[in-house]
Amino acid sequence: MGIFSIVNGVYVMAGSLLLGALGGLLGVFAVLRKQGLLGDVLSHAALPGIVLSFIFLGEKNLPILILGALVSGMISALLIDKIVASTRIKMDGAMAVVLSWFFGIGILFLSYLKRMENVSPSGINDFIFGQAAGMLQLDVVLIGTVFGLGVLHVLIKWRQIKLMIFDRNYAHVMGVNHRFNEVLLTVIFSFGIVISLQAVGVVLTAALFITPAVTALFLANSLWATVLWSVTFGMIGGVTGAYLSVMYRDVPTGASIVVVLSLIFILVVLFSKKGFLMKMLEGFRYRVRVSYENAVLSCYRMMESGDCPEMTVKKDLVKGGVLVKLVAWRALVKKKLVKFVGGQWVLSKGGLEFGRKLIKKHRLWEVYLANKLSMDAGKVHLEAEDMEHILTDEMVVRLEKMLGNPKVDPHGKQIIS
Amino acid sequence: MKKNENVVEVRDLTVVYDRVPVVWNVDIEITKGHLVGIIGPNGAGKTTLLKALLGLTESVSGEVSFFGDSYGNVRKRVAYVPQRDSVDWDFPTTVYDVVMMGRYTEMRFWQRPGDEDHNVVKRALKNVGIEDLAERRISELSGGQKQRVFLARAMAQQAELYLLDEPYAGIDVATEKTISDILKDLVSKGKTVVVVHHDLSTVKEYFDSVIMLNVRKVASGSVEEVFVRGNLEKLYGGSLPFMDNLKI
Ligand SMILES: Nc1ncnc2c1ncn2[C@@H]1O[C@H](COP(=O)(O)OP(=O)(O)OP(=O)(O)O)[C@@H](O)[C@H]1O
Ligand SMILES: [Mg+2]
Repeated sequence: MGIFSIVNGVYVMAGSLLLGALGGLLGVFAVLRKQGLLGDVLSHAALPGIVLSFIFLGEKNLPILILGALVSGMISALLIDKIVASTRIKMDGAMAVVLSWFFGIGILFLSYLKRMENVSPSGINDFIFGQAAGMLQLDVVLIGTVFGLGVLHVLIKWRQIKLMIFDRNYAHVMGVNHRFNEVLLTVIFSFGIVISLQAVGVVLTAALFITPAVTALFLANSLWATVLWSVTFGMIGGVTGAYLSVMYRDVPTGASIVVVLSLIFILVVLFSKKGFLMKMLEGFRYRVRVSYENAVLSCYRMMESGDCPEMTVKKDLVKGGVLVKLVAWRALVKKKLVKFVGGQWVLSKGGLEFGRKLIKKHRLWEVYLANKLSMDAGKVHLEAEDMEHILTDEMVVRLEKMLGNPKVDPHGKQIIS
Repeated sequence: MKKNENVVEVRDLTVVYDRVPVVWNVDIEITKGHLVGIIGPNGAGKTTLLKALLGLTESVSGEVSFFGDSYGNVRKRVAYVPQRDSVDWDFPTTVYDVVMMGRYTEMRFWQRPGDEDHNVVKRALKNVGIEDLAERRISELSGGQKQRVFLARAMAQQAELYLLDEPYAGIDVATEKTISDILKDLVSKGKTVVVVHHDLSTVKEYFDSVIMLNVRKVASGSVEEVFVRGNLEKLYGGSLPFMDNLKI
């Protein structure tokens, strides 16, 4: 890979990998604690602190910059608390207002800094949209340390943290020191945000923390799985994003990371088992099934009432949208519910059997509604509509038993067992 | 243990929100083996009272003791079932896992749940009739199922005193019956159960004692003695049409 021919290529790769893992890990807890917005506030509000330390030092000194960022982030957080406590303004409103104040002030300071004579503003622009190419050993050590602390805290306090986020009162009752855990999580989260600023930029840092977590929450059913997925997504986003931005010089790292993470998010939301496409497909399959089952049913009913003793299946018995009709008809043929005899389609033996089963489900349900729920016999037909598509064979057996094997439905029609 | 031992003893408890007392000078004694209902109108301070007992809400005055000891020393023996909407049901976890939370006090951080823990959890799930939902994600539960999960978690704790906040709110008759059977069963085994309750028509059936609370304690004692028209009128501020249906 071309990236390792750059002097600090190893640091860039290691740093962005760790950064992604850090974002993925801390993001899960921040999102679950409904603190996603706090990340945005802290990163934006860090700008005045960063620029001020530049102005006073006259050059770039990473530890001091980080300190500046932390202090101004902290002041913004305190300010938000104060506003919420002493006015009727709600949390999200206070956050949005304070975030834009601090960011605006930061931008003002920045334009002042650029006009100063004895200060070289090189490197300061990285902090707006991020530049991973500038990462050095010190960055990697810092990021690694915060990540290590995060992992340690989460592992040791796993159950407490879980309990505290899910059910704070219960955690308290169980003797969990949730204040301590909450404060520690928030502190580690704030550190994580601040040390990401140079590589990812104040504008998009929060996305590195929030997007992997949100994506993982969409997929996973347990906290463990959520954390593992989130860390994985974060690492993929971090490394790929950093690689792209270093290889194509003009792309800010923040932007390329966010692009990669968003892509993962979109893929997951579309294609995962719980995703949109699966849901649509499920819906379509259901409609197809209802359509061909209804076709068999109406044919069976016509036969039963003597309207159509030869059991002809006309294609217009299959109802639904164009695609549904097409697929439903093919299903009828493929499942051998209909067969082609003497130049026309008729219900096959299997089809007849299938129809009998469906009608039984429908009529059993009518009996249930009428007998057990005391519904009017005139109404039960409509209420039982669609139940024949839903009842499973096992439920039929139970229903029959519960209803005492009825022989006729509320309209006096036969139930064949 | 002595038979008539006081499981809960509260003296002079007062809780204040924004300078307004919501629980005022309340004295309570609950003896072992009773099924106690706490009733009172909305905003009467019932939830606040439970929270104050457990130290979830600061009280400005008063003494609370459990089993003759301070709460900090007997946590494990007290199980709390909060109001259903007080937690984040979108949290990524399963029914089994939530019930296992009742066992957390038994484990150090490096320990994994042992056989005993798993057995207790399975039994609790079975008791409340949701063993087939064990692996279900909690966001996919109905209201009644959530209530059963909470109850199972409390039972997994194997406590001696159970404090439940409106377990009967918004559930169907079948779940209501299950819960009331479970609570009666607990009491028959010598446990003590305290329930915040709203539906006056079931008070006689569900409880043997009641505490009537409306900021101050209006009355407390056995259902026969205390659950009478005069007290209810005091509690709800005047005669209410539904009282005629209660045959009291
Ligand atoms: N955190 C809080 N801050 C301020 N006031 C509160 C707080 N929690 C409750 N209150 C107030 O305290 C009073 C008692 O509330 P509480 O929830 O204890 O009533 P309750 O008897 O449980 O009512 P409900 O039957 O509606 O559940 C109410 O007036 C309520 O508005
Ligand atoms: Mg309440």
